[in-house]
Amino acid sequence: MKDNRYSRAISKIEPKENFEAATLAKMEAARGEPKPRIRRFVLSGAALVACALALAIALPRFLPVRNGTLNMPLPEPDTTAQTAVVQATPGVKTAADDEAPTGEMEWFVVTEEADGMYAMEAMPAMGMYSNKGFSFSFNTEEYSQIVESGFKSVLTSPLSTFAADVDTAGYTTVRRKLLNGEMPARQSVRIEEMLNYFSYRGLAPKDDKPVAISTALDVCPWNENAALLMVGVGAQKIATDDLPRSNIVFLVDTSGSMDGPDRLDLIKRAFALFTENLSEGDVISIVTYAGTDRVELEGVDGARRSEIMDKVNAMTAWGSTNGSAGIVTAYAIAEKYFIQGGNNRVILMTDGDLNVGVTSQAALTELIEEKKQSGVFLSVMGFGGWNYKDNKLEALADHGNGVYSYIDSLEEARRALVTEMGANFFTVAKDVKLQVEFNPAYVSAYRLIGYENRALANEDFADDTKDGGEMGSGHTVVALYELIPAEGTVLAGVKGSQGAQASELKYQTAQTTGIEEVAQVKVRCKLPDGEKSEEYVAVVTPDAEASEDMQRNLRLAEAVTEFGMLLRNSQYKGASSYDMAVETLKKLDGANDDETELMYLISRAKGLETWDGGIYVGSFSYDEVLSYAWSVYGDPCVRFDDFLNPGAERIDSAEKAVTAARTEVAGEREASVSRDASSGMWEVTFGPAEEGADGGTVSVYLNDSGKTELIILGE
Amino acid sequence: MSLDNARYDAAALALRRWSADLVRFAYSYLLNHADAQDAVQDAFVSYMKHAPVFSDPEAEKAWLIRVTANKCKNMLRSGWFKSREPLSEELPADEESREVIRAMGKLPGKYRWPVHLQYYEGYSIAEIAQMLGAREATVGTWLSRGRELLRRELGGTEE
Repeated sequence: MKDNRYSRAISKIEPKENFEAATLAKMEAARGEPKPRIRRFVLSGAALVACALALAIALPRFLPVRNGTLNMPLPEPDTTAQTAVVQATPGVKTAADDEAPTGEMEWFVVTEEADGMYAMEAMPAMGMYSNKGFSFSFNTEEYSQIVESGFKSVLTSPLSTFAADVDTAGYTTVRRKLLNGEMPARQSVRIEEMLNYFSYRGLAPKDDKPVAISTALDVCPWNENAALLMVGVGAQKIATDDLPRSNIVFLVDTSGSMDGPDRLDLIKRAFALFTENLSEGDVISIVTYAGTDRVELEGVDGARRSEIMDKVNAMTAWGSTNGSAGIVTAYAIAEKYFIQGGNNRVILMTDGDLNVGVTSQAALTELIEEKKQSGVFLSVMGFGGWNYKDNKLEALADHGNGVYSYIDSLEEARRALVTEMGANFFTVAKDVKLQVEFNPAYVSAYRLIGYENRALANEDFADDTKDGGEMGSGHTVVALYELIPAEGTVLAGVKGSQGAQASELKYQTAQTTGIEEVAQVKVRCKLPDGEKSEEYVAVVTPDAEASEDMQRNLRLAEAVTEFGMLLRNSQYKGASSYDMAVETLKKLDGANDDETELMYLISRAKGLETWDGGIYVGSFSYDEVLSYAWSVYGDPCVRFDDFLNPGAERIDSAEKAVTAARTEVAGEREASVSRDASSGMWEVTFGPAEEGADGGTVSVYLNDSGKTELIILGE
Repeated sequence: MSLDNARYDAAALALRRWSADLVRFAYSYLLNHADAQDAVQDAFVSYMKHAPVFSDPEAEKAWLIRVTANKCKNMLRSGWFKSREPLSEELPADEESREVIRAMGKLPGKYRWPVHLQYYEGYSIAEIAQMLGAREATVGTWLSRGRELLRRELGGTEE
């Protein structure tokens, strides 16, 4: 702001305290209102001057950006057509319509970084912008790189060891992106997390052991030379009434970036559900952290729900964060109200914004590990899409022996907090690790699908100082192995082919012990209070019949895995296809909501991938067609072609552009055509109409992506 | 629906960032706190319905200013305005500031915005012209006349 008398005076005018909240409420109400698809503006002759001015404002859009002026350059489109992008077409303001420009809408997000720079995310692959001294980086969502593990030879690596993982963020991230009309970033697709999002049947122990192991063999649907081995580990299910009491400290990020309906507001709504499941004897505390940390609630009994909700509803977002200080306070409170043999946990709720104070991964993890030793675990719930630091959050939960969930809807919050309260919060087994040994007599090579982040050295399996995963009540962990049968054997009907053996070794031969087992699965875990692990074993025999439950589990796992491999464009996807995945899911009996939604998501991904990046006239929106297909045909599979009008023309020449544009204007008019090279958008300008018709020029913009229709501007 | 979520996010961020600036902008014209807030509120509802892609925050703010300006003009047109005198209870406490704002209130409406946009926001004539949908020459005239009147009203320097 400038410094002068007027400026100083007007600066003293402030919006009232509840202004922002009230405005947000009105904006919320305006959400979901139908948007105009084609607008036609007609001016009286007297407003021609205004129209000319309006055009003067619109035209600079096609000129290069000049520093220091307020042009609005269009972003570079993603020409690889991996994602379907709706380009904006700012309309032109006219005097008759006092609204600012209208037209088909695009979405974008701007987030404020810690150093005052702005980050914008609209498309996955974009360049850098610079205007007026702002420079842009984009996409602050960080994902760890995953390098897929390939096939391993049984002779050289007979053991496969990994930690049990029950985090589900990998799936909810994919879901969020697809629902937003975007393909998820390949690196964000973690197949094991997608697999473990779903419920599998019949895996829980039938005796009183903490875990049970189930296995099944099947032919591999995407690789005719391979079989699939499914390994399922189920944790003991404890009836909710029998659950020991909980001592939970919620550590809620209330910094400025947490403002919004998918963050703090969502947390509040989630709390409303959560408190319904608390009982007397549970102890709840809430610590908020922003510029400083505040203890909002300390050691309140779970039965005092209204008191808890009062505090929750009073939380507001402001300032920047000091993550670790809040964590220290939260742990102190958890230790103060520690329940022996109970569920003691700190639950961190944040969008990942840890701006001030200790922000290095190392220092934070050290702190969390130390606290974990005292029996207070840490779970993390991630919120918000735009400033979302996935790898940091997951690591925190990992080190705290807790669960990481990404919450993008009330349903997901319900899942995490309520449905899985038993599973998520009450640990039945900790440091759960799996080790599978393959028999070279039956298997020549294997590939563990996913779990790259969870791989353990083989010797770490029995090493109790090495961390594994957490399993809560009723939790399941499943993993799939792609197996190449050894020469001369048949697994699940798949013959080992000649030459399928790994490269000939000089000093070793496959001298087997003659045991007729395909593989041995070992699971090691500790009881929640214990420090010494127990080992449980199951064997995989070549001819075992899979139970009905396991057959269903196999179908589901195969479909999810195919989907994941397609999203990652994995080199191992083989004959995977979206259609095949959906067909497999359709055959599941009694599909639950998650499975039905999965079918929908797979078809969305398919639609997004098949768009050819062209401009079409007269198309429907992707959403419309999908929901139509779903409701009328009960079929979620839609090709891109399906959402074009019959005979929809691809606009790839000036003549076609003029022809298409003519359908929207009255009278015989002269037309001139130009095309914006970067956006591919066509602008057809018509000269004045004949006598008797409305005067003035008309510009018709043909927009892209097959999603929008003609946008017509002032006449 | 998902577009709405994203737009809501963006609008909410813009709200947090600029609600004060926008209320001041509207106030400079309407000289009424409640009306100014209403205008800005309507502008954000418009954001939810009509906003295009913004390539940078400056463009976004300019758009919001433009829409807020329209809302203010609509208010005047529909005769909500009772008086052009700012309510004294809404004015800042110190006499110096009150004097400046009252002086602003004496300017014809069309002069106030260029003055505010230049004196408070620091925009150039070209930028103001774009925002208000007027020719640069026109804006230049408004600005010089507005400043002249303000100077006379405040009796001396405006710094």
